[in-house]
Amino acid sequence: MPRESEKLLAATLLLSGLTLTLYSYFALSSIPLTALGIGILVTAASIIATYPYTPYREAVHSVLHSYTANVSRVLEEFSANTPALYTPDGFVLVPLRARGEPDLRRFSGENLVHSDPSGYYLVLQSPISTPAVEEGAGVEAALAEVVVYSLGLSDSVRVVSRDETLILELSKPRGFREGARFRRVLGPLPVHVSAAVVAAALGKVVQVGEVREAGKGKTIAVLRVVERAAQG
Amino acid sequence: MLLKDRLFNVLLPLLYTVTVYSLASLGEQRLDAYFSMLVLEYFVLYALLRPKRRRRDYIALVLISLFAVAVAFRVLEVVSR
Repeated sequence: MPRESEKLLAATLLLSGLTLTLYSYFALSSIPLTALGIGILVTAASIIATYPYTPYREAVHSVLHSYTANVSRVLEEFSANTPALYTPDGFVLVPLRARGEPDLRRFSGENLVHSDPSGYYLVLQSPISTPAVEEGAGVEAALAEVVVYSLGLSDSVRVVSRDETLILELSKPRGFREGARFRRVLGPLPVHVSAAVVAAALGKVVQVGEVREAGKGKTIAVLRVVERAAQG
Repeated sequence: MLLKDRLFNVLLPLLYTVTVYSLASLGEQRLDAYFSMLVLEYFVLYALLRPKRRRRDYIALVLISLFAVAVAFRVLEVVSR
């Protein structure tokens, strides 16, 4: 669905530009105002002709399909079961045999498996690179920019923050036929990407909790901010 | 929307406002002079930012057609003097 605000802006500009052009030319006989009206019309037409989303969305979806399939295979191979941890720098740590939280001061992100005194973690790179999300940007704004407008994984996102928990409401999230293990460990793909964005925007480690369908095509996901993971 | 598309849609009305204000301050009263400047600015900005369009850029087609008509009228006016 295109951005409603942009459609509204274009319609308003089109109407006001047309009115200004006709009125200033025929009634006021003012050439500068007529030219301004024409300028407004051209601007409105330009907004309408512009893609509301990134034009590369189809290609991105194809890449995400492959990403989902590949990660599903790796998770199956390692028999991963525990919900993953999302770090602010775009890594996803899947606990394999771990107790407690990982020590991120020892984490370099160079190996497939990270080990520290708390256990072993499978290291994945989330599809969202951290430069795509500005740290300190509002969580909802960052989610809307990446999940809705850039990747088109959901029609809209709402965030409610409560203590160390964030509740995301994703409207009409796109399905990517993730396997059961992928959903159990990382959540559905839109939630997985959202968790990576939230971690980058907050600059904190987060973990996907409960994910449920809420009717009317909405998905509710609970994200937990992990305080105890020692960060470097 | 890509950043360059957004930039195009922000810079275009800004340039148009400055141009109309400047020409009006100079006392310009020919509509084709204003229109030529608007068309020129559209194409300069388009060449610089290359915004992505949903389909073919019909705005450019319409603008260049109207510009051609305006130029033709002006040439006709000069020739018929």
